[in-house]
Amino acid sequence: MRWKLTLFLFPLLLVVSIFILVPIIIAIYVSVSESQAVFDFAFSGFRNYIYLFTEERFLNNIFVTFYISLLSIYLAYLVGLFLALYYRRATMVTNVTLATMMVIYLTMPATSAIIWRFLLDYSSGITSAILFYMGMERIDFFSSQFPALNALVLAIVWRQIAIATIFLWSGLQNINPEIDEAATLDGAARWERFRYITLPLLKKTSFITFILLAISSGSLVEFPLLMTAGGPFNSTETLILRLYREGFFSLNWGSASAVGVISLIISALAFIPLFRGILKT
Amino acid sequence: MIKKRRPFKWVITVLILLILLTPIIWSFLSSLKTTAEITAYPATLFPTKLYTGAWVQTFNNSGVYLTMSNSLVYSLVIALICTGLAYPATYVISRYKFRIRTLASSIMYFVMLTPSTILIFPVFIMATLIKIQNTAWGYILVMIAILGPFAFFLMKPYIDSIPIEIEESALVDGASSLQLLLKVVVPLSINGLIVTFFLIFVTAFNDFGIAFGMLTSDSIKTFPLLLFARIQFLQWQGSWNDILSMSLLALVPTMIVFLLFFRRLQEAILKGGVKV
Repeated sequence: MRWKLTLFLFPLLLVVSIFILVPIIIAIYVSVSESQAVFDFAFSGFRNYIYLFTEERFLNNIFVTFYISLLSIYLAYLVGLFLALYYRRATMVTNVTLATMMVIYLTMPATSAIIWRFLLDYSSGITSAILFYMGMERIDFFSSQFPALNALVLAIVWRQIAIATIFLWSGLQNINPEIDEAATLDGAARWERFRYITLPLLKKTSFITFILLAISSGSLVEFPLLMTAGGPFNSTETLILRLYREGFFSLNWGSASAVGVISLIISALAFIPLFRGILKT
Repeated sequence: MIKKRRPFKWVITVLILLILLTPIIWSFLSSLKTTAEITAYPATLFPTKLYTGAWVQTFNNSGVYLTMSNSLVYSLVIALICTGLAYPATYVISRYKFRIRTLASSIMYFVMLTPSTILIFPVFIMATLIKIQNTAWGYILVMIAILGPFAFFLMKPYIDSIPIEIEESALVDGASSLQLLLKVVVPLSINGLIVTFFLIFVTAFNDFGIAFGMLTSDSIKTFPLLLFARIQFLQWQGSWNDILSMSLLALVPTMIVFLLFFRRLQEAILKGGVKV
């Protein structure tokens, strides 16, 4: 038993601890340190944190992150649920649709960011062309904050819909169709069957889908970096993009660590209910 | 149950898929346009003159080959080691009760639930300290640490679903623990193993965030990093066709692997195996 634990479990646990848990501790330490040199520690209080929270740019970073994450998670979930219900029965059509969803899900995020940047481009984009042929004014998505944010949401949702559809569909397959048929015989309307039978039975799958959507929505750096580069004037800069800029472009280790620790706390707070749910199951 | 035939479902499906695939189709068509045409407003649907220059340029770029082979080698090694380490760990957590079991699975779920882009800066600091930043092995190790818990999460339902009686009877027949794992548990959860391997491979191949922090020399960079360098360089000259052809090239390896694993994946999804 003991040797088995050591041999089977500890290699992975060791790699994870060394490369994830130890760095988090180091980052907390660097974020409250005076200088950048790690071995030359001088406690600086919470200067980095105070600086960030009094800065308008950082507050905007938090707003942007929440805006993008919440909007894209809920939109993707709703569209995914609709598609999963529409293709509920496994037929040829369903297979084709699911395969397409897989293709979208597997698309490299960097590629989808570039493709969407091109699609929504002011001069050569497809949106501009469509609006032109409809005789309407074209929209410049990337010159003001909300159009740019919505462009990001659109690109992220495109990817997320695939994840939501695949997982919700596979959850629907685990529901016994006889329950639905029995309800139909009892005279339950379509909406009632959905509201009182399908949705409650889909609760666990929905939960997992939300987790997967949440992990990949606000946290991908590719979309803000390659589509808007945080612009115009940092108005679409997410927390993650800020972290990358402070850390890898400006080399401010102290404030980058502080941004990292704050993001970690936000994501932990968001995931605590989910985490509890998982451990129970 | 009354079976309804729905011929228009095909029509609706084709419409939905067309909308969903528009980004990819449109970019592919555009990558075959000349630079003058691609920047013109309003854009044309089909290229008026077929121009393969952008693709030729992409295929003649030595950086493309270098980074693509780097990407493929890294993701293959990562997927192999990751699945290899996570499989026995998942088995132990799924099957045995021991003192640090809750702690171990909590760590796994914590790492899995934390977006890797948040973790990369702390990891970068430590990698710099122990001098593995900007080395291929450093990158691979970090990726294993980040994706290992994800592999655990993917594999667990498959191992959980094996009836324990099968293992007990094998033990009664005198199988050793290792024999039990290799000859009984692995064949019964082979689908899970394959799906996990596939998803880890694709996730590693598509990774941009971690590579961005871990790899800085041109010779060890991965393909997404090359894309990033190119888009900064080319975007403002309007040579979208170059960027698009390169971006679309990034989809080829994943699609090939996808087609190779298609049957298994379909089976896993159809059976509702992607459940947790």
